[in-house]
Amino acid sequence: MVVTNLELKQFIIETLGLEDIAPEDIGDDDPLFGAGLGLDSIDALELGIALRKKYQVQASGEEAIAREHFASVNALVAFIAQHGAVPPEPAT
Amino acid sequence: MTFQPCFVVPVYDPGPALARTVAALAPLGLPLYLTDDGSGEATRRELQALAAAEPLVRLTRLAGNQGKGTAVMEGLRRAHGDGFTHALQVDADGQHDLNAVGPFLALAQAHPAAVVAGFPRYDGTVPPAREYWRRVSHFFTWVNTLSLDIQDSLCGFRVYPLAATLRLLDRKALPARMAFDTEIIVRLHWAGVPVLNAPVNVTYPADGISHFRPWLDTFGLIWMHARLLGGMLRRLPRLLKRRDAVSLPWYRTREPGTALAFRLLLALHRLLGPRVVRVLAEGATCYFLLTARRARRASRDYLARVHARHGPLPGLERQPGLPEVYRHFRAFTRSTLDKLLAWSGGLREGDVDFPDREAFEALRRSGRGGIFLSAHLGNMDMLRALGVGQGLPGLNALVYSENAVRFHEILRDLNPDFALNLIQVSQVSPDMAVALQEKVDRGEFLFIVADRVPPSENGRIVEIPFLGDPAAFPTGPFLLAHLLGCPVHLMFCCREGQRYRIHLEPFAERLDWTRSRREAAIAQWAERYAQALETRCRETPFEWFNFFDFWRTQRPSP
Repeated sequence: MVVTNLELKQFIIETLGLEDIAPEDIGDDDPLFGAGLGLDSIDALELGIALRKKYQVQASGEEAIAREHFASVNALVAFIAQHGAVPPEPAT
Repeated sequence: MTFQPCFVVPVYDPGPALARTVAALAPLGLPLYLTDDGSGEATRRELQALAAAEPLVRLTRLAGNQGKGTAVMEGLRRAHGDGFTHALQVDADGQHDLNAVGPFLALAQAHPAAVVAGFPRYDGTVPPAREYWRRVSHFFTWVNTLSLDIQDSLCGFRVYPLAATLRLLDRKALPARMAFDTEIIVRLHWAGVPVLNAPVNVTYPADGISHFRPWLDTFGLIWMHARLLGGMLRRLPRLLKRRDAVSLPWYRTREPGTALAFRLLLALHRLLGPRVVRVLAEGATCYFLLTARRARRASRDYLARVHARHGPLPGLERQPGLPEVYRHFRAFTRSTLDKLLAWSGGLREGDVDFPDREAFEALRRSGRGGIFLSAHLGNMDMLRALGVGQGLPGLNALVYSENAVRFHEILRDLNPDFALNLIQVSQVSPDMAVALQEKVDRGEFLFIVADRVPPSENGRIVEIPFLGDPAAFPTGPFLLAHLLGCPVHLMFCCREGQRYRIHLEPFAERLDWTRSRREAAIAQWAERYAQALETRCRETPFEWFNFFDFWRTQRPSP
């Protein structure tokens, strides 16, 4: 599953409702949590759920691993490329 | 301390299982202390042949048949004398599945101070009379240790820590015969030796020979329990003190009294029926009142708060005192009992008033699913047990704690349906949230009790005023409701007089907030919940079942 950095940034902003932030404010290698973008563990949870729904990635499990995948936009894009999938059409 | 295990096997004419047992144990390379308890000539010759053929076998013979207890003690003494630290007792009659040896020794090595006690998993070959006796016997063991630490007091498959065991044997003469297995473990428990329980498959081999003498041995066992009961009563102050720990948060309290009473009630309910149990429940209340000092203090504090904030309790002019604490405890034992009755089918739906049933049915039909927030106020199990939810596609209860899980295991004994929809949550994870979301999307409902903080020390909490002072509430339920974006209702099922009444009230269509206002929003929702809870406490004050210091121990540890 290929997702571009821009798409992912937009996805993060939309999911978390980051009001004053534009995609270009997020550096590709900036830390998402703590110092960089300043996300916290509840954001991680919301993001984790949204990622699971949209890209079928299981971003939970070992917390340390999750933290590694969530380190930056680049890391997350790589993670989705490796583990993500296009979700099946929702049943109607 | 190095771990040096060996086997201790009492032998008294076990039949053909003897050779099988030795053949199964010998490959493990640990010495086998066989004590021949005056077997007949055939067994005697067989033992000599085994000892000659197998260098690991260390055989002694008692003069005449002195009893299983004596044979085991002899083996334990010799093993200790030879420098071994632990002995796994195995019966020679082949009833224990020897595949359990590995796990038992591993447990003993990891917990060298503990006894590892087997609890049997039967394969259906157990005679019914024996099963009945086992239940009675376990009941007395729980009473005599004032705990549920010993899951099975009769099973002869155990690892003994030899140093502590020999200290006991040197001090106290233990029964020579069948009563030995129970008495030694009760006395080790009294002496403060930890007890670990592990399963062992048990089968009564077709060719097995039992040496249980119905009349004599039954009498011996009854006599033993009577003596132990005396011993327990003498040690009562010390045993109770041991349990009366410092003020602990609810998830750290093991609620031994509660769990014990619960088990006892269940056992009695099975043995004697509900009517006797109702009388005994009064006794259980008195027992609580006398022994549970911390709970007593908590109850008095809580009732005084309700009084101070909302005026006199229903039907009471004065300040609440000890009689009201009794009434509070009584409400709890009753609730426990009713839970029991409800799950075993002894209460009917007619015993419950549900004024908002229409709203509830409408909610069901909407297919939108949702969350019911409740609390340790009243008895939510009634709702599920009484079949109000029958035909409802999934009522799921989210529970936080191991404590809760233990209670539920007891209830599951009673009604296998019980555990179906119980979800244990230690922390909200994305996986968990997604799984719950799928349930809600299918139109299912989640019950969450939102008045106790999560067990993990770093659980998220928020402090809000409740009955006059700040108290900690979990943020998890509100966060989850937000993540799931589903309707939230409050639901309580409280006893009012002789009947139960289900209270349903809408809480929010969905819990929405913007990220920048998140903390404040969660606090606001929690506050609304706490206010609603306070209203319920005013209406039915005695249905509050948090018997710990709600305002102090729920704070995060410094």
